[in-house]
Amino acid sequence: MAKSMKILIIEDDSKIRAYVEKGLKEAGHVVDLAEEGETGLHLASTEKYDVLIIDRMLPKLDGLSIIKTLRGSGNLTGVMILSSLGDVDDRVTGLRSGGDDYLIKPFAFIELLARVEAIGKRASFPQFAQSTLLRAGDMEMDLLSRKVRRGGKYIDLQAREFRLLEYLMKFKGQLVTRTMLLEGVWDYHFDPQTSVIDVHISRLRKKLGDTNNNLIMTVRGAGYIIEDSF
Amino acid sequence: MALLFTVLLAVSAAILGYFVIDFGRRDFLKETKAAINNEVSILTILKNGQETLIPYFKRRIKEDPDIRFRYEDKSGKFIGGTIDPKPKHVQKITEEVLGYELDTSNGKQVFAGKTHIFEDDSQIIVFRNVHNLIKSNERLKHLTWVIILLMFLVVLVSFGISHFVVSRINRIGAIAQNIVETGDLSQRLSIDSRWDDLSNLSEILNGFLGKIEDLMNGVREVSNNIAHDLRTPLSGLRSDIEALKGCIVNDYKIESLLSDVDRILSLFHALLRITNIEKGKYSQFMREVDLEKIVKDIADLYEPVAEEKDLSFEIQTSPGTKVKGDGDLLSQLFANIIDNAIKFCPKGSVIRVYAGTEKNQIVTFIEDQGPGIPDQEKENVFKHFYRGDASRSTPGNGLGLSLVRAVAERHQARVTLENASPGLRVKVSFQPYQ
Repeated sequence: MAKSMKILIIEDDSKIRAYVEKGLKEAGHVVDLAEEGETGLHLASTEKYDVLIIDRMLPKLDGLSIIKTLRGSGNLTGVMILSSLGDVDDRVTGLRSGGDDYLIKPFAFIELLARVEAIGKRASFPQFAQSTLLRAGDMEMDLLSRKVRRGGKYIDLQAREFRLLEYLMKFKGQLVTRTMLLEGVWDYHFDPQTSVIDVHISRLRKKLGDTNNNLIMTVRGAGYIIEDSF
Repeated sequence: MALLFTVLLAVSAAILGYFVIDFGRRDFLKETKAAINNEVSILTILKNGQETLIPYFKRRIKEDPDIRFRYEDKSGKFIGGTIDPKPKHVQKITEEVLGYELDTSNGKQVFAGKTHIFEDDSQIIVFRNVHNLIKSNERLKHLTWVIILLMFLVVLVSFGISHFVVSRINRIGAIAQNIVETGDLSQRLSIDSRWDDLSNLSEILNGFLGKIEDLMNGVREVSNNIAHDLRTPLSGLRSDIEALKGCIVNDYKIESLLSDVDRILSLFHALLRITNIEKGKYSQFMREVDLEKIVKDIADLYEPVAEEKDLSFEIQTSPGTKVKGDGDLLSQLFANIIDNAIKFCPKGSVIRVYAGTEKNQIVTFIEDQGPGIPDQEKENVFKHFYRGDASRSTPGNGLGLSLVRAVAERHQARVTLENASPGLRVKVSFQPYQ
């Protein structure tokens, strides 16, 4: 499990607030709450958080204005935007205003958790983004020479397979959902009707010799994870 | 309003007529009388100066062909002038001025004459030719009547037009009011002619009503479909939850309930997306995209899925396939078509993917070797929630091709379903990027 993070939730819907708070606490994180924009902005700019979860539409001060204000004052805390506005242009305006990720309501909690932890990781280990050698167990991935070795043996991967593995490796120890893969690896923002991602993963597993799904593990109903201990 | 307009016009016509007649008569009288009086006063001065009048008559007649004199003594015997014998007056113009008919070089003409008696009881009659004056006065009178008649006609026509226009506007207003009150969008404005602006306006308004009706019907159809299509999973969910009463709930049961809910949510999401695409909310993301690349990427995404079914792609593309569009939407369009092709293709067959130019259009098609779609079903498969006989047993929500059509229409592209015998060819034709 990822290390404990300090998270602020700014959300006016008490049901969602309670639901997200409960889930995040169970996942071992410390959670603060704000019901409206002004309190939220005050907390976010005075306390130190790992991730902010901000609803887009809030009383007193809307979510995007909070993010813009924070970014304007040099605060680079990772931000997850929650919104019931699910169009592509809504997403783009959300991300342009300084959000790191955008999640459309209604969402599965596991999706939120995976994405929030991914934001937290990106923010807390800026050096990991530059790291060019990724390791998991007996597998080694060189991002510069674009070579993968497992147990000393080179494995020939296609470009797309390489990027898929790279994404999973970068978030080692964390759940990566199918939509995260679809967005991160393929840059598609729609949901294909068939489980295309699963098929890509199983092909990757085959190439990696991951016969018992020990390396890339399946989290039922959610996504995949390459365990830290590996 | 129409009546007021007509009355005003009629009154002004009457005033104009009266004015013209009145002016003409007075002018005609004044001029003649003044000229004769002038002549008489000159003669009186000459007479008082003991001069003979005869040379003056001669001079005046030479100067002015319109003038005549008759000078006589008190017994009525002719002394001088040009008129003898004394003529009989034929009409009375005013109290002192009488009308005569005298011979001229142009035949008989009307003269106005005034008799003046000097102090020695001799008298002079001064005649003045008023033939032309009377003629033009009569012409003026006729003309005035014509003008009055014309104005009367104008009054009638304008009354007709204003009555016609106002009543048409009132009728349009009444129908619009009726539509507002009853909400019945199937009503249309009547169009009785084609030549005037009001009919034009009525036609535009009818087109407007038609468009609104279409949209409303579309919304109604979609909401009916949603209601219908969601009833099944929702009632399933309801009975599942009901069955949990008094039971110990385990994770497995919760998972199953959640997947029911997720299915309903994804249906909503898909419908919402189609509606948003149809109403054009995505237009700001239109930019130059290359269909060749999009098609290849999607084939690449689905390639392992196809491989699982032992299918292979045969991709054929040519350059110059740039269009103006939204890359994400177009990707989903091809994803849906390829997803369908994979679903319906028999094991071991080939799916042909093509992107290239044909005539002036950019054409893409995806061709499978599946059962195809019978001609009579080809239009239906684009409807929301429609599922053909062949697809009823396969997973899906019946919205895949609806989305394909919505995205295509957003890009002014045309989707056609052709028989590839065997199989189906889904062809999408785009306008090239300008």
